[in-house]
Amino acid sequence: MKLKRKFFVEIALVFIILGILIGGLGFALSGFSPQAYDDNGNAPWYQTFHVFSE
Amino acid sequence: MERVDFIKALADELSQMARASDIHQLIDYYDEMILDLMEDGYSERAAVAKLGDPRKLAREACGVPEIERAFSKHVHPLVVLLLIVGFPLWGSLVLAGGLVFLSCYFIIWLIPLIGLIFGGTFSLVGVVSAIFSLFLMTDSLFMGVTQFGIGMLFFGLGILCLTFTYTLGGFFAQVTKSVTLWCKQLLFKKRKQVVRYEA
Repeated sequence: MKLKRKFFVEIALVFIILGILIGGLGFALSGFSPQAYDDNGNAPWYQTFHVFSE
Repeated sequence: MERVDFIKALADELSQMARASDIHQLIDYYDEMILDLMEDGYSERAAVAKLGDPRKLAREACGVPEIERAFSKHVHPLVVLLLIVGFPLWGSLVLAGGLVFLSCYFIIWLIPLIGLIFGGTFSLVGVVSAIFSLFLMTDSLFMGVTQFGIGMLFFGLGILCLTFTYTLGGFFAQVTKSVTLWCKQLLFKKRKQVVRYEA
């Protein structure tokens, strides 16, 4: 079975672009403030990313 | 091989098997064949390659068969004794060579393996992040949305990585097969002695 490489690359690019857009939307919802993401080390277990701001 | 080289090689072979008058005729014949092929769209090298080995052509033209005689498999007892006595030396060298060869295979296959690990991890992280972002949205919407975006981004990167790994794996499989076949031919090819016609 031959993998349709072009199809998978296109799917991957769609996910990457959508991810950047939705991530940007989240950042816009925070008011473009990195400090808003600072949880002082009290992140819940289901949060998979952390932002460290000084 | 270029046309001129081919003609030279053919003339050299024919000079051992045919009369001078026949040589000219045969050379003209094969030269014309090359030119015809070139007119048909073949490149010079391709046309020469299509005709084949000059030695074989010369033999066929002159009706001289090539007799191939396999080397005798009989080995002198002294050689066997020397091989046994010298085993600590040549055996360790052969073993070292074999292991170096194997390690080259391992190193080559580490590249697709790393791609597979990265692709798998990115995809898994992406899916997990996207699912967990639903819980996070109940606490903080912007954090949940950001995590969902990051999850999608990682999932896309994972698919991209896996696709490239698949392509790379196919290429490496081809290279491994070719190198293995080449080594096999080099080590186990049948040794032949060609008895050539002497004029």
